[in-house]
Amino acid sequence: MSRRFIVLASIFQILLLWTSSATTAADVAQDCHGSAVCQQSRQVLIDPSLASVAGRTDFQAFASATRDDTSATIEVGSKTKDNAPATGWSFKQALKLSGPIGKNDSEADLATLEGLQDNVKLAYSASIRQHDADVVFRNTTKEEYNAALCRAHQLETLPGKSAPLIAPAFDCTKGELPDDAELYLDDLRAEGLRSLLDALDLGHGSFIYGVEATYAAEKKYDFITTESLTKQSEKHDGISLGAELGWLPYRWGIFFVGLSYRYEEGYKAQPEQDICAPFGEDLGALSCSKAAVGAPSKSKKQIASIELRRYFRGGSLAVNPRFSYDFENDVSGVRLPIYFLKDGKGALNGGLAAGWRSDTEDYTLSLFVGTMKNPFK
Amino acid sequence: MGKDVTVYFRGNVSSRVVRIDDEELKFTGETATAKSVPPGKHYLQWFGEATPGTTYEIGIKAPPEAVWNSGKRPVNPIGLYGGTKVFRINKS
Repeated sequence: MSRRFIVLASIFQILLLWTSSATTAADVAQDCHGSAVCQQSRQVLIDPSLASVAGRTDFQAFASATRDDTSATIEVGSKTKDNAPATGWSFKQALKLSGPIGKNDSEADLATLEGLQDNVKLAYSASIRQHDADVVFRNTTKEEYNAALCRAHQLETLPGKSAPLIAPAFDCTKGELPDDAELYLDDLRAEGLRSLLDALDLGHGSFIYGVEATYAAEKKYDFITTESLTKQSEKHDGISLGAELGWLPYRWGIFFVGLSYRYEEGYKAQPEQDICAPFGEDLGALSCSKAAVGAPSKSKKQIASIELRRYFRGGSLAVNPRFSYDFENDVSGVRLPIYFLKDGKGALNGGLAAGWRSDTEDYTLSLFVGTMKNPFK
Repeated sequence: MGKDVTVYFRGNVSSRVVRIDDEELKFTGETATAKSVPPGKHYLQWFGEATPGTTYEIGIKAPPEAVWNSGKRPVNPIGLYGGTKVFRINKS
Protein backbone atom coordinates (compact mmCIF):
# COMPACT_ATOMS: atom_id res chain seq x y z
CA MET A 1 0.00 0.00 0.00
CA SER A 2 1.56 3.32 -1.01
CA ARG A 3 2.17 6.07 1.49
CA ARG A 4 0.14 8.50 -0.59
CA PHE A 5 -2.86 6.20 -0.33
CA ILE A 6 -2.35 5.87 3.41
CA VAL A 7 -2.37 9.64 3.89
CA LEU A 8 -5.47 10.05 1.73
CA ALA A 9 -7.23 7.22 3.56
CA SER A 10 -6.39 8.75 6.92
CA ILE A 11 -7.69 12.16 5.88
CA PHE A 12 -10.89 10.54 4.64
CA GLN A 13 -11.36 8.70 7.93
CA ILE A 14 -10.81 11.92 9.89
CA LEU A 15 -13.46 13.66 7.83
CA LEU A 16 -15.83 10.81 8.60
CA LEU A 17 -15.06 11.13 12.30
CA TRP A 18 -15.58 14.88 12.20
CA THR A 19 -18.98 14.25 10.64
CA SER A 20 -19.93 11.63 13.21
CA SER A 21 -18.80 13.97 16.00
CA ALA A 22 -21.13 16.64 14.75
CA THR A 23 -24.07 14.29 14.89
CA THR A 24 -23.51 13.75 18.60
CA ALA A 25 -23.94 17.41 19.50
CA ALA A 26 -27.49 16.83 20.69
CA ASP A 27 -26.34 13.99 22.93
CA VAL A 28 -23.61 16.20 24.33
CA ALA A 29 -26.05 18.97 25.11
CA GLN A 30 -28.37 16.51 26.80
CA ASP A 31 -25.61 14.95 28.88
CA CYS A 32 -24.28 18.33 29.90
CA HIS A 33 -27.64 19.94 30.59
CA GLY A 34 -26.86 22.58 28.04
CA SER A 35 -23.59 23.51 29.65
CA ALA A 36 -20.56 24.12 27.47
CA VAL A 37 -18.44 22.79 30.28
CA CYS A 38 -19.01 19.19 29.35
CA GLN A 39 -18.07 19.79 25.78
CA GLN A 40 -14.49 20.38 26.66
CA SER A 41 -11.81 17.90 27.48
CA ARG A 42 -11.85 16.82 31.08
CA GLN A 43 -9.00 14.58 32.06
CA VAL A 44 -5.47 15.53 32.84
CA LEU A 45 -4.09 12.07 32.21
CA ILE A 46 -6.27 10.68 29.48
CA ASP A 47 -4.32 8.19 27.42
CA PRO A 48 -6.29 7.28 24.29
CA SER A 49 -3.66 4.73 23.26
CA LEU A 50 -3.98 2.95 26.62
CA ALA A 51 -0.21 2.59 26.42
CA SER A 52 0.82 4.46 29.53
CA VAL A 53 0.63 3.88 33.26
CA ALA A 54 -1.06 7.27 33.54
CA GLY A 55 -4.44 6.13 32.38
CA ARG A 56 -7.99 6.20 33.59
CA THR A 57 -9.58 3.55 35.74
CA ASP A 58 -12.96 3.10 34.14
CA PHE A 59 -13.88 0.98 31.13
CA GLN A 60 -12.12 2.08 28.00
CA ALA A 61 -11.99 0.88 24.42
CA PHE A 62 -9.47 1.77 21.79
CA ALA A 63 -8.95 1.00 18.12
CA SER A 64 -6.10 1.93 15.84
CA ALA A 65 -5.36 1.52 12.18
CA THR A 66 -1.98 1.58 10.53
CA ARG A 67 -0.98 0.99 6.96
CA ASP A 68 -0.74 -2.77 7.47
CA ASP A 69 -2.99 -3.65 10.31
CA THR A 70 -5.67 -2.65 12.78
CA SER A 71 -5.89 -3.55 16.43
CA ALA A 72 -8.36 -3.13 19.26
CA THR A 73 -7.93 -2.84 23.01
CA ILE A 74 -10.31 -2.82 25.94
CA GLU A 75 -9.34 -2.04 29.49
CA VAL A 76 -11.15 -2.13 32.80
CA GLY A 77 -9.70 -1.08 36.10
CA SER A 78 -10.28 0.13 39.60
CA LYS A 79 -8.77 2.68 41.91
CA THR A 80 -8.80 2.91 45.68
CA LYS A 81 -10.76 5.88 46.93
CA ASP A 82 -11.23 5.15 50.59
CA ASN A 83 -8.84 4.00 53.29
CA ALA A 84 -5.95 5.73 51.53
CA PRO A 85 -2.89 6.11 53.71
CA ALA A 86 -2.19 9.53 55.14
CA THR A 87 0.71 9.96 52.74
CA GLY A 88 -1.68 10.64 49.87
CA TRP A 89 -0.99 7.39 47.98
CA SER A 90 -3.62 5.75 45.84
CA PHE A 91 -3.58 2.33 44.18
CA LYS A 92 -4.86 1.48 40.73
CA GLN A 93 -5.05 -1.82 38.89
CA ALA A 94 -6.31 -2.74 35.46
CA LEU A 95 -6.83 -5.64 33.10
CA LYS A 96 -6.28 -5.00 29.43
CA LEU A 97 -7.25 -7.30 26.57
CA SER A 98 -6.03 -6.52 23.09
CA GLY A 99 -5.66 -8.15 19.75
CA PRO A 100 -5.27 -7.61 16.05
CA ILE A 101 -8.20 -7.11 13.72
CA GLY A 102 -7.90 -7.99 10.08
CA LYS A 103 -4.55 -8.77 8.57
CA ASN A 104 -1.92 -10.67 10.46
CA ASP A 105 1.01 -8.60 9.39
CA SER A 106 3.59 -8.13 12.11
CA GLU A 107 4.34 -4.48 11.44
CA ALA A 108 1.26 -3.07 13.16
CA ASP A 109 2.91 -0.42 15.26
CA LEU A 110 6.38 0.21 14.00
CA ALA A 111 7.44 3.21 16.01
CA THR A 112 6.83 1.79 19.49
CA LEU A 113 9.12 -1.17 18.73
CA GLU A 114 6.60 -3.52 20.31
CA GLY A 115 7.09 -7.08 19.14
CA LEU A 116 3.98 -8.87 20.41
CA GLN A 117 1.37 -6.74 18.71
CA ASP A 118 -0.06 -9.42 16.43
CA ASN A 119 -0.92 -11.76 19.31
CA VAL A 120 -4.05 -11.68 21.43
CA LYS A 121 -2.75 -10.31 24.72
CA LEU A 122 -3.93 -10.13 28.30
CA ALA A 123 -2.14 -7.65 30.53
CA TYR A 124 -2.38 -6.89 34.23
CA SER A 125 -1.08 -3.57 35.45
CA ALA A 126 -0.84 -2.03 38.87
CA SER A 127 0.30 1.42 39.87
CA ILE A 128 0.50 3.62 42.89
CA ARG A 129 0.19 7.37 42.75
CA GLN A 130 1.99 9.51 45.27
CA HIS A 131 0.40 12.86 46.13
CA ASP A 132 -2.80 12.02 44.30
CA ALA A 133 -4.67 15.35 44.43
CA ASP A 134 -8.03 14.07 45.61
CA VAL A 135 -6.48 11.64 48.11
CA VAL A 136 -4.36 14.48 49.50
CA PHE A 137 -7.50 16.57 49.91
CA ARG A 138 -9.34 13.73 51.66
CA ASN A 139 -6.50 13.58 54.15
CA THR A 140 -6.58 17.33 54.76
CA THR A 141 -8.82 18.53 57.56
CA LYS A 142 -11.30 21.35 57.23
CA GLU A 143 -9.03 23.59 59.30
CA GLU A 144 -5.88 22.73 57.31
CA TYR A 145 -7.58 23.46 53.97
CA ASN A 146 -9.04 26.71 55.25
CA ALA A 147 -5.66 27.76 56.62
CA ALA A 148 -3.90 26.96 53.32
CA LEU A 149 -6.43 28.91 51.23
CA CYS A 150 -6.43 31.73 53.79
CA ARG A 151 -2.66 32.17 53.73
CA ALA A 152 -2.52 31.93 49.93
CA HIS A 153 -5.14 34.69 49.62
CA GLN A 154 -3.19 36.91 51.99
CA LEU A 155 -0.28 36.82 49.54
CA GLU A 156 -2.14 37.98 46.45
CA THR A 157 -4.34 40.88 45.45
CA LEU A 158 -6.76 39.68 42.82
CA PRO A 159 -7.25 41.64 39.61
CA GLY A 160 -9.78 44.43 40.13
CA LYS A 161 -9.30 44.43 43.90
CA SER A 162 -7.39 46.99 45.93
CA ALA A 163 -6.33 44.61 48.69
CA PRO A 164 -6.01 40.86 49.34
CA LEU A 165 -9.31 39.09 50.03
CA ILE A 166 -7.96 38.09 53.42
CA ALA A 167 -6.38 40.96 55.33
CA PRO A 168 -2.69 40.36 56.12
CA ALA A 169 -3.42 40.87 59.83
CA PHE A 170 -6.00 38.04 59.90
CA ASP A 171 -4.85 34.95 61.80
CA CYS A 172 -5.13 32.05 59.35
CA THR A 173 -3.51 29.47 61.60
CA LYS A 174 -6.72 28.55 63.42
CA GLY A 175 -8.42 27.36 60.24
CA GLU A 176 -11.42 29.62 60.81
CA LEU A 177 -12.53 32.09 58.13
CA PRO A 178 -14.59 35.30 58.23
CA ASP A 179 -18.35 34.80 57.94
CA ASP A 180 -18.52 36.08 54.37
CA ALA A 181 -15.46 34.21 53.12
CA GLU A 182 -15.59 32.68 49.63
CA LEU A 183 -12.10 31.62 48.55
CA TYR A 184 -11.18 29.92 45.28
CA LEU A 185 -8.05 28.04 44.34
CA ASP A 186 -8.78 29.05 40.76
CA ASP A 187 -8.20 32.73 41.58
CA LEU A 188 -4.63 32.15 42.69
CA ARG A 189 -1.54 32.73 40.60
CA ALA A 190 2.21 32.50 41.23
CA GLU A 191 2.97 33.16 44.90
CA GLY A 192 -0.41 32.28 46.34
CA LEU A 193 -0.63 29.09 44.30
CA ARG A 194 2.86 27.98 45.33
CA SER A 195 1.95 28.59 48.95
CA LEU A 196 -1.23 26.52 48.62
CA LEU A 197 0.48 23.62 46.81
CA ASP A 198 3.23 23.49 49.43
CA ALA A 199 0.70 23.58 52.25
CA LEU A 200 -1.24 20.68 50.69
CA ASP A 201 1.96 18.69 50.06
CA LEU A 202 1.51 19.00 46.30
CA GLY A 203 4.47 21.31 45.72
CA HIS A 204 6.57 18.64 44.01
CA GLY A 205 3.73 17.37 41.89
CA SER A 206 2.26 13.88 41.70
CA PHE A 207 4.31 10.73 40.98
CA ILE A 208 3.09 7.47 39.48
CA TYR A 209 4.94 4.14 39.78
CA GLY A 210 3.62 1.22 37.81
CA VAL A 211 4.31 -2.35 36.71
CA GLU A 212 2.72 -4.39 33.96
CA ALA A 213 2.84 -8.08 33.04
CA THR A 214 1.53 -9.28 29.70
CA TYR A 215 0.84 -12.75 28.38
CA ALA A 216 0.57 -13.05 24.62
CA ALA A 217 -1.56 -16.06 23.70
CA GLU A 218 -0.26 -18.81 21.48
CA LYS A 219 -0.16 -17.95 17.83
CA LYS A 220 0.18 -20.35 14.95
CA TYR A 221 3.06 -19.72 12.57
CA ASP A 222 2.81 -21.38 9.14
CA PHE A 223 6.01 -21.67 7.18
CA ILE A 224 7.88 -23.71 4.59
CA THR A 225 11.04 -25.48 5.61
CA THR A 226 14.20 -24.37 3.90
CA GLU A 227 15.45 -27.95 3.45
CA SER A 228 12.51 -29.75 1.88
CA LEU A 229 10.12 -26.85 1.09
CA THR A 230 7.35 -28.70 2.95
CA LYS A 231 4.63 -26.92 4.85
CA GLN A 232 4.90 -26.91 8.64
CA SER A 233 3.50 -24.94 11.53
CA GLU A 234 4.51 -24.13 15.08
CA LYS A 235 2.69 -22.47 17.97
CA HIS A 236 4.39 -20.02 20.29
CA ASP A 237 3.30 -17.65 23.04
CA GLY A 238 5.08 -14.62 24.48
CA ILE A 239 5.47 -12.51 27.58
CA SER A 240 6.48 -9.01 28.54
CA LEU A 241 7.25 -7.39 31.87
CA GLY A 242 7.48 -3.67 32.34
CA ALA A 243 7.95 -0.92 34.88
CA GLU A 244 7.00 2.74 34.56
CA LEU A 245 7.54 6.03 36.35
CA GLY A 246 5.44 9.11 35.72
CA TRP A 247 5.53 12.67 37.01
CA LEU A 248 2.80 15.30 36.86
CA PRO A 249 4.41 18.56 38.02
CA TYR A 250 1.42 20.72 38.90
CA ARG A 251 3.55 23.78 39.41
CA TRP A 252 4.70 23.99 35.81
CA GLY A 253 1.41 23.75 34.03
CA ILE A 254 -0.38 20.83 32.61
CA PHE A 255 2.03 18.29 31.22
CA PHE A 256 3.20 14.80 32.07
CA VAL A 257 6.54 13.02 31.84
CA GLY A 258 6.82 9.24 31.78
CA LEU A 259 9.75 6.78 31.73
CA SER A 260 9.33 3.08 31.11
CA TYR A 261 11.30 -0.12 30.66
CA ARG A 262 9.89 -3.29 29.14
CA TYR A 263 11.34 -6.76 28.57
CA GLU A 264 9.71 -8.84 25.85
CA GLU A 265 10.14 -12.42 24.79
CA GLY A 266 8.28 -13.82 21.82
CA TYR A 267 8.59 -15.16 18.30
CA LYS A 268 8.73 -13.48 14.95
CA ALA A 269 7.76 -15.01 11.62
CA GLN A 270 10.33 -15.05 8.84
CA PRO A 271 9.67 -12.65 5.94
CA GLU A 272 7.30 -13.97 3.30
CA GLN A 273 8.70 -14.90 -0.11
CA ASP A 274 7.19 -16.00 -3.40
CA ILE A 275 7.34 -19.79 -3.63
CA CYS A 276 6.71 -21.27 -7.08
CA ALA A 277 6.10 -24.87 -8.12
CA PRO A 278 5.38 -26.55 -11.52
CA PHE A 279 1.70 -26.34 -12.46
CA GLY A 280 -0.22 -28.61 -14.79
CA GLU A 281 1.27 -30.53 -17.64
CA ASP A 282 2.52 -27.57 -19.60
CA LEU A 283 6.23 -27.23 -19.43
CA GLY A 284 7.26 -24.01 -17.80
CA ALA A 285 3.89 -23.28 -16.13
CA LEU A 286 4.29 -22.28 -12.48
CA SER A 287 1.93 -21.78 -9.56
CA CYS A 288 3.22 -19.24 -7.06
CA SER A 289 2.16 -18.21 -3.57
CA LYS A 290 3.62 -16.22 -0.69
CA ALA A 291 4.90 -18.08 2.35
CA ALA A 292 7.31 -17.62 5.21
CA VAL A 293 10.47 -19.59 4.57
CA GLY A 294 11.98 -21.05 7.70
CA ALA A 295 10.75 -21.51 11.26
CA PRO A 296 9.89 -18.43 13.32
CA SER A 297 12.80 -17.02 15.26
CA LYS A 298 12.87 -16.25 18.95
CA SER A 299 12.78 -12.53 19.62
CA LYS A 300 13.93 -10.69 22.74
CA LYS A 301 13.62 -6.97 23.34
CA GLN A 302 14.58 -4.60 26.12
CA ILE A 303 12.82 -1.34 25.39
CA ALA A 304 13.25 1.90 27.29
CA SER A 305 10.88 4.78 26.50
CA ILE A 306 10.34 8.37 27.47
CA GLU A 307 7.08 10.19 26.80
CA LEU A 308 5.78 13.70 27.25
CA ARG A 309 2.15 14.69 27.27
CA ARG A 310 1.12 18.29 26.84
CA TYR A 311 -2.28 19.92 26.46
CA PHE A 312 -2.86 23.10 24.46
CA ARG A 313 -5.69 25.54 23.79
CA GLY A 314 -7.64 24.73 26.90
CA GLY A 315 -7.60 21.01 26.32
CA SER A 316 -8.77 21.04 22.70
CA LEU A 317 -5.41 19.78 21.42
CA ALA A 318 -2.71 17.57 22.91
CA VAL A 319 0.57 16.00 21.85
CA ASN A 320 2.18 12.89 23.30
CA PRO A 321 5.66 12.35 21.77
CA ARG A 322 7.36 9.08 22.72
CA PHE A 323 10.94 7.98 22.06
CA SER A 324 11.80 4.29 22.44
CA TYR A 325 15.11 2.42 22.29
CA ASP A 326 15.60 -1.34 22.10
CA PHE A 327 18.90 -2.20 23.82
CA GLU A 328 18.80 -5.81 22.66
CA ASN A 329 18.64 -4.96 18.96
CA ASP A 330 20.02 -1.40 18.90
CA VAL A 331 16.87 0.02 17.33
CA SER A 332 15.20 3.34 18.15
CA GLY A 333 11.73 4.60 17.34
CA VAL A 334 9.83 7.87 17.57
CA ARG A 335 6.07 8.24 17.71
CA LEU A 336 4.19 11.55 17.74
CA PRO A 337 0.45 11.27 18.35
CA ILE A 338 -1.57 14.45 18.01
CA TYR A 339 -4.95 14.32 19.73
CA PHE A 340 -7.68 16.55 18.35
CA LEU A 341 -10.75 14.31 18.11
CA LYS A 342 -13.15 14.26 21.04
CA ASP A 343 -15.68 11.77 22.27
CA GLY A 344 -19.35 12.54 22.85
CA LYS A 345 -18.58 14.20 26.17
CA GLY A 346 -15.82 16.39 24.88
CA ALA A 347 -12.77 14.41 26.05
CA LEU A 348 -9.87 14.05 23.64
CA ASN A 349 -9.73 10.46 22.45
CA GLY A 350 -8.27 10.31 18.98
CA GLY A 351 -6.21 11.84 16.24
CA LEU A 352 -3.23 11.15 14.04
CA ALA A 353 0.12 9.61 14.95
CA ALA A 354 3.31 9.84 12.94
CA GLY A 355 6.10 7.33 13.56
CA TRP A 356 9.61 6.38 12.49
CA ARG A 357 12.08 3.62 13.39
CA SER A 358 15.81 3.50 12.80
CA ASP A 359 16.38 -0.03 11.52
CA THR A 360 14.07 0.19 8.52
CA GLU A 361 14.06 4.00 8.35
CA ASP A 362 10.37 3.59 7.65
CA TYR A 363 7.73 6.24 8.37
CA THR A 364 4.18 5.52 9.45
CA LEU A 365 1.04 7.57 9.72
CA SER A 366 -1.81 6.10 11.72
CA LEU A 367 -5.26 7.08 12.81
CA PHE A 368 -6.49 6.22 16.26
CA VAL A 369 -9.82 6.64 17.97
CA GLY A 370 -11.39 5.33 21.16
CA THR A 371 -14.80 5.50 22.76
CA MET A 372 -13.69 6.18 26.35
CA LYS A 373 -17.26 5.77 27.60
CA ASN A 374 -18.05 3.99 30.80
CA PRO A 375 -20.96 1.60 30.20
CA PHE A 376 -21.37 0.94 33.94
CA LYS A 377 -22.38 4.50 34.80
CA MET B 1 -32.74 20.12 64.83
CA GLY B 2 -30.60 20.25 61.70
CA LYS B 3 -31.45 20.99 58.14
CA ASP B 4 -30.86 19.02 54.97
CA VAL B 5 -28.44 20.84 52.68
CA THR B 6 -28.35 20.03 48.99
CA VAL B 7 -25.15 20.74 47.08
CA TYR B 8 -24.91 20.65 43.33
CA PHE B 9 -21.82 20.48 41.13
CA ARG B 10 -21.72 20.96 37.38
CA GLY B 11 -18.60 20.34 35.37
CA ASN B 12 -16.91 17.57 33.46
CA VAL B 13 -13.96 17.03 35.76
CA SER B 14 -11.63 14.09 36.25
CA SER B 15 -11.80 14.02 40.04
CA ARG B 16 -14.13 15.71 42.50
CA VAL B 17 -14.23 15.75 46.26
CA VAL B 18 -16.87 17.94 47.93
CA ARG B 19 -17.51 18.07 51.64
CA ILE B 20 -19.35 20.02 54.27
CA ASP B 21 -16.94 20.52 57.13
CA ASP B 22 -15.19 17.13 57.33
CA GLU B 23 -17.99 15.02 55.86
CA GLU B 24 -17.48 14.03 52.21
CA LEU B 25 -20.65 14.19 50.14
CA LYS B 26 -21.78 11.30 47.96
CA PHE B 27 -23.11 12.55 44.66
CA THR B 28 -25.86 11.09 42.57
CA GLY B 29 -25.43 12.83 39.27
CA GLU B 30 -25.06 16.53 39.93
CA THR B 31 -26.42 16.66 43.45
CA ALA B 32 -25.63 15.44 46.94
CA THR B 33 -27.45 15.97 50.20
CA ALA B 34 -25.99 16.41 53.66
CA LYS B 35 -28.61 15.35 56.21
CA SER B 36 -29.43 17.28 59.34
CA VAL B 37 -26.70 19.91 59.22
CA PRO B 38 -26.87 21.55 62.64
CA PRO B 39 -27.42 25.31 63.11
CA GLY B 40 -24.29 27.40 63.04
CA LYS B 41 -21.35 28.22 60.83
CA HIS B 42 -20.21 25.66 58.27
CA TYR B 43 -17.72 25.28 55.44
CA LEU B 44 -18.45 23.91 51.99
CA GLN B 45 -15.11 22.75 50.60
CA TRP B 46 -14.24 21.29 47.22
CA PHE B 47 -11.13 20.20 45.35
CA GLY B 48 -10.16 18.18 42.28
CA GLU B 49 -8.40 17.84 38.96
CA ALA B 50 -9.70 18.90 35.56
CA THR B 51 -8.39 20.09 32.24
CA PRO B 52 -7.31 23.74 32.16
CA GLY B 53 -9.65 25.94 30.19
CA THR B 54 -12.75 24.09 31.34
CA THR B 55 -15.18 25.48 33.89
CA TYR B 56 -17.26 24.19 36.77
CA GLU B 57 -20.04 25.48 39.01
CA ILE B 58 -20.94 24.60 42.58
CA GLY B 59 -23.87 25.72 44.69
CA ILE B 60 -25.92 25.18 47.86
CA LYS B 61 -29.69 24.82 48.11
CA ALA B 62 -31.07 25.02 51.64
CA PRO B 63 -33.54 27.89 51.54
CA PRO B 64 -34.04 30.38 52.89
CA GLU B 65 -30.68 31.06 54.49
CA ALA B 66 -28.21 28.84 52.62
CA VAL B 67 -28.75 29.62 48.97
CA TRP B 68 -25.59 30.28 47.04
CA ASN B 69 -23.75 29.42 43.85
CA SER B 70 -20.27 30.10 42.63
CA GLY B 71 -21.20 30.93 39.06
CA LYS B 72 -19.04 29.42 36.34
CA ARG B 73 -15.49 29.15 37.59
CA PRO B 74 -12.39 28.44 35.48
CA VAL B 75 -10.12 25.50 36.22
CA ASN B 76 -6.65 26.70 37.18
CA PRO B 77 -3.95 26.56 34.42
CA ILE B 78 -2.21 23.74 36.30
CA GLY B 79 -5.30 21.53 36.15
CA LEU B 80 -6.60 21.95 39.70
CA TYR B 81 -9.70 23.61 41.04
CA GLY B 82 -11.11 24.09 44.51
CA GLY B 83 -12.35 26.44 47.15
CA THR B 84 -14.10 26.98 50.43
CA LYS B 85 -17.36 28.81 51.17
CA VAL B 86 -18.67 29.81 54.56
CA PHE B 87 -22.41 29.36 55.03
CA ARG B 88 -24.71 29.47 58.01
CA ILE B 89 -27.72 27.41 59.08
CA ASN B 90 -30.11 29.21 61.38
CA LYS B 91 -32.05 27.69 64.25
CA SER B 92 -35.54 26.78 63.04
